[in-house]
Order: sequence, then C-alpha cells, then structure tokens
Amino acid sequence: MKRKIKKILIANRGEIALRIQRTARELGIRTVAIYSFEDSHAPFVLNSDEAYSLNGSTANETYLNIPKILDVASVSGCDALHPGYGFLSENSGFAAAVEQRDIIFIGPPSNAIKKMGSKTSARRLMSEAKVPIVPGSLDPIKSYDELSLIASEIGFPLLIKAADGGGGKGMRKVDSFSDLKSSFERAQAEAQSAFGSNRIYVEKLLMNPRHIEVQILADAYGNVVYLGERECSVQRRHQKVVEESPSAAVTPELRSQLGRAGVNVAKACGYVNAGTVEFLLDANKQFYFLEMNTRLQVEHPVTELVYGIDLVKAQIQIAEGEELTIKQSEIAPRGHAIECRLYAEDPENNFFPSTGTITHYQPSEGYGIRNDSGICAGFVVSHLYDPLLAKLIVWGKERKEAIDRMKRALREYTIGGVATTIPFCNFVMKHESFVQGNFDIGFVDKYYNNGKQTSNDIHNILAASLAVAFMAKNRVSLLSTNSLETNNVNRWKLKRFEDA
Amino acid sequence: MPNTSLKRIITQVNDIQYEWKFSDDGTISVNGKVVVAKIDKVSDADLFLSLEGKLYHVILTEANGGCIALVNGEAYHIKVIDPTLEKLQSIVGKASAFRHPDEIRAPMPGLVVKREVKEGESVKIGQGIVILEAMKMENEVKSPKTGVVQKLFVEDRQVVEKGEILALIL
Repeated sequence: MKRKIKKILIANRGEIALRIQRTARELGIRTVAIYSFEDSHAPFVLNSDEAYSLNGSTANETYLNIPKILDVASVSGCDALHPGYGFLSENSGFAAAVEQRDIIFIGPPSNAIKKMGSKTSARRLMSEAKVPIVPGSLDPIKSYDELSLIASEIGFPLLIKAADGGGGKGMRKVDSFSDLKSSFERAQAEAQSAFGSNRIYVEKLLMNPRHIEVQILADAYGNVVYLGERECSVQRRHQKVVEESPSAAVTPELRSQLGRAGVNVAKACGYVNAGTVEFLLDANKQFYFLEMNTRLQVEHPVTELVYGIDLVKAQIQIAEGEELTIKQSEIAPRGHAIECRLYAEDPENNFFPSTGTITHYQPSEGYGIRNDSGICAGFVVSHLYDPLLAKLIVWGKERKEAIDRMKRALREYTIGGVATTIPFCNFVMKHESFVQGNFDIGFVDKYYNNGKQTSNDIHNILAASLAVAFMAKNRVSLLSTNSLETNNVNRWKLKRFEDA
Repeated sequence: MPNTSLKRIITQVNDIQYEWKFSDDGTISVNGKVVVAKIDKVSDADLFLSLEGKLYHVILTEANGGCIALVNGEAYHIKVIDPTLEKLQSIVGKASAFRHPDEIRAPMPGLVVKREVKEGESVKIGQGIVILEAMKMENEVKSPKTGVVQKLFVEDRQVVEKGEILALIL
C-alpha cells in the first residue's frame, strides 16, 4: 500500500526536530512543530512550516502528552508523524494511537516496538532466536526480594535497567548488596519519570566491553539490509558522548557477522523502518545482544556520512510503502566519520548539568564538517529537558584524518553561557588510547581525571587568566569573588522578580 | 571591596596562582614579568586579546563561584582570589566564616523530587537527604556528616537554583 506523505507532525524538540525538518523540506513535505513555553523561540520552532504551543513546561505537560499531541495532529491535518528519539519514540501505545487515527507513524509498527521496547521480552525473543544475550533476568522484576535472589545467582557487579526504556536513564550499577535496595528504588523512580513505567530488570555487568551497534533498514516487504556498525564506547553515566563509524575493532568478517545478527533480530520481531541493534563486544570479540532501539538514533549521522544514505529520507520512503532498492552487496563504508555530542554539562565537575542563557554561539565550519544543533545565541538551556545542545560530526578519508579534523573543529567551536562537553571531546581526540583505537566503555573512568590533565597549554592558560583578571579589574559582576555574596544577590533578585 | 586591590588581581587556574598587575600607563605584568598585551572587550561574556604577539578570543561563563574561560577549544576553571578575603580566611580558618560547614546546598539547579528525611531525624554520613532531578536524571544529595537534620529548607516538587540551601545538619 503506497501513500505519499504531505505533512509531518514532528513530536520532538531541539536538534532532532530540525534534522527531520531539513529532509522533509528537501522532499517537499510540510512540517508541523509542537513546543513548550520554554521552547517558544527555539530554532526548530522558527524553522517549521506551522507550530503549535502545547501550553506547558514539563515534559509530561508537553512532549510526553499524548492527547495534546494527537489533537495537534488532527487540527493541523497531518498525514504522518515522526517521533524523533527519546520522549514518545519508543512508546508502543503512542504508535498504536497514531496508527488508529490513520496517521502514518514514521517508525516501526507498534507491535514491533512493543516486542523490542520491553527489554525483557526482547531478551526472551532473542534467546529463542539463538542470538547471544547477556546473563540476567528474562522477565521484569516484581519485588526487591526477587531482585536479591537473582543478584545472588549472577553475582556483582550488576546493572539494574529500565525494562521499558533506554538511553541510560533509570540504569544503575550496583557493586554490592548494601546498595541494592536504594539503587532498586532510584532506578524505579527514574524509569517512571523518564518512560512512564517503573518496570526494571537486571543483567550481569560485563567487564569493559565495547559498545557496538548495527544500523538496519527494513521495508514492508521483508527486505532487510544493514549499514555497518557504529562504535559508541566513549560514555559517561552509560550515555554516549563520542561515536564513530566504522569501529576500529571491527574487521570486515566481524562486520558481516554482526550485520547478519542484526538482520536476524529485525526479522525475528517483524521490524519495518530504520532501527538499531546494540551489542556488547568483549575482549575475545564475542558479541552479545544488548537491546534494539526501535527509532532513529542520536548518532545516526556518522552512518549517513560513511554510507551516503539520508536515513530520515529512507525512513519516510519506507513509511510511504516504498520498497528498498539498495542491495546488501552494493553497501560499503567509505571513509570514516566521528560524532561529538556537545552537552550542557561541566566535564570538570563530574558532568553536572549546566543551565543558563547562551551568550555566544559560533559553530565550526569548513570541509568535512556537519553541525546538527538545536540552539542559537540567546537560547535558554532549561533544566527541564535533555542537555544535548548540538552534535558535531566530521568525515575524513580515514580514521586519522577524521580525528585531526575533529580536533580542528572542536578548537573552532565556541559556546558561551553554559559549560559544555567540548573540552572533554578534545581530551578524547588527543588521548593515545582513542587514537590507537584501543578503548572500551571504561574509557572515562580509566583515563578522565575530571579534565585536570587537559588544561596544560601555558599560552591558553595565560590568555584565559588575563581575560578573567581584566574583567575582575573592571568589576564585571560575572566574576564576583565571594560565592556566598553571589548567592545572596541572586536570591534577592529572584525574590524581587517574584514580587513584581 | 577596597579600591586598593583593583589593579592587582590574583587568578587561580589548576591550583596555580597568577598575580596580574595593571598600571595606569597601560603596562600589564604577570608574576612580576611585563607582558605585551592588548585587550578589546566585546561584551561582559567575551573579549579579544593579543598576548605576546598571539591573538585569542576568550569566552567567559559563570560557574562554581568562579568562571570557565573557553579558549581555542580548551576550557579553564578560573577563580579570582581576593587578597584581603584570603588573609581573613587564613586568620579565621578554612572559609568557616563565610559558609556554615553543616549546610547542604544544591549542586545544580533542578527539581526536588523527594525529601528523604524529616526535620529532627538522625542521619549517617552518606545518607540521602534530598533527591534532585535535573535534565531527567535523578541525583541523590547525601549528608556530608553524621548528625541530626536541624532544618529542611525545601518542599517536595520545589524548583531550586544552584547553590540554594537544602538542609542544615547539626
């Protein structure tokens, strides 16, 4: 059944909403944006063809609010909806509600999301399909007593994970029984607030594996291809910061093994559209199914640059009922791509979130650079949403060229007003283990000592120090020396605004 | 702050201090050595400077009671040390005159999801006091000492600013 899409509701915000708008515009498809109060002047709202306020601030009032979003879809006359990543993208109930209204959901069928969205039913399905999985529970855990029983079977350290989510939210590493109960409760609460379900399960923690994932594309006629792998081992708090394709650890033989496993996973759950199958790769190059992300991934651009395929365009064409025309034998990687996620976080302060107004924004430019950003100067970074500001992606003809280009691009990229992960990404690009391709998901814990070792260029230090001294000399309030005094002043100001 | 300290500024980067002197005739020196420098302020948050023949664009962001200076893709946490304040602190002991040692402050802006203790309750070191949610992550703010919760300053579901006082432990 073929049906041309004319107007897409984008049920998301930030850089990914812009990313989808760009491809839609190239295809002559109109886009509708939805937004919270905080996002009313965000670049993705300004770039849309139509925009509707969701009259709220928190994610629950806005980007997670199914009735409001479906109302906008009806009122604006959209014939399709793209969920982006995060928020409702892996909510099978939402996808089903969209399907019922005869609106095309640009993603997999709701029953495939349901099968893979519950991490536990996915594990059960994979274990039946003979895809190797990490030891742990095959079903959600009902009580603390059940958890402690399984914990004593598989041993510590272990990972508690959200059964109905992903992206590291609701995930807790537990080293011993003494932390088990509080971690269980924290993980449940986090899972509830991030995914609207408090179901969790447990897995043995593999020691220092690499995170390798396979991009697949499946059409409605049973054709499935894989577009190689992405390596996403540089993580903090189980969330990716640096990704690349291809992986330095994957040989052509391993690539086709991983790819075939990914295709089998997709076939086992009746998958249609773009999807990602995540694996952990251990030191012996054995791989284990971790989970399937039934949506577009944050890091999809590295695959786009290396394989020359616009994944959002592919998603739209598959959703329109088009058949995949590309054959597996024609798919080969060309060159190397790296992505750095620029988060509003302070890497020198344990990656704590940093909020505030963007005072300065100048992204890098030039050959081989792609910048997928959701911000502009004057944009206010709120504590309400995910702290991703932008993704900086580079292409090089081989890995070394890509690393050198990323170093150059990070040097040019300037964001003022919030702390960002730019210096951390710089650290990664310069680190010998990363350069050699010899690293795993323990990279940050093993090598990153809160950034102290990155700041060693005496010319830069003196320039930075002089700039601050000059501002302090001129008594610029930004540089108030006494933090207690600063707090008092801020509070007084806040109070005054509240009274006004 | 006394006016006499205006032209002598001490900055601290990575635990190393730099003493800058700005003379009326425009001469700038660091740790007693005169440098060739020219400074053009663009805004309160960024400036161009030429130092010893090299050009820099420095972008400043307030953070942790000091600021982060971004220059050429590297970020430095810089504090300005007030000599009079430092002297006072060395007399009365480690910052105790300026911050109560037993107060717990929010390490980041966010939403108080839940208070885990009540006023008057005994707590152990490392015990959770408040759960703070920022950018979808829940973070447990823990007690720095064993003692009694003297006062809680926040309610459940309250939005707090960074550095705002959450609780007092005695």
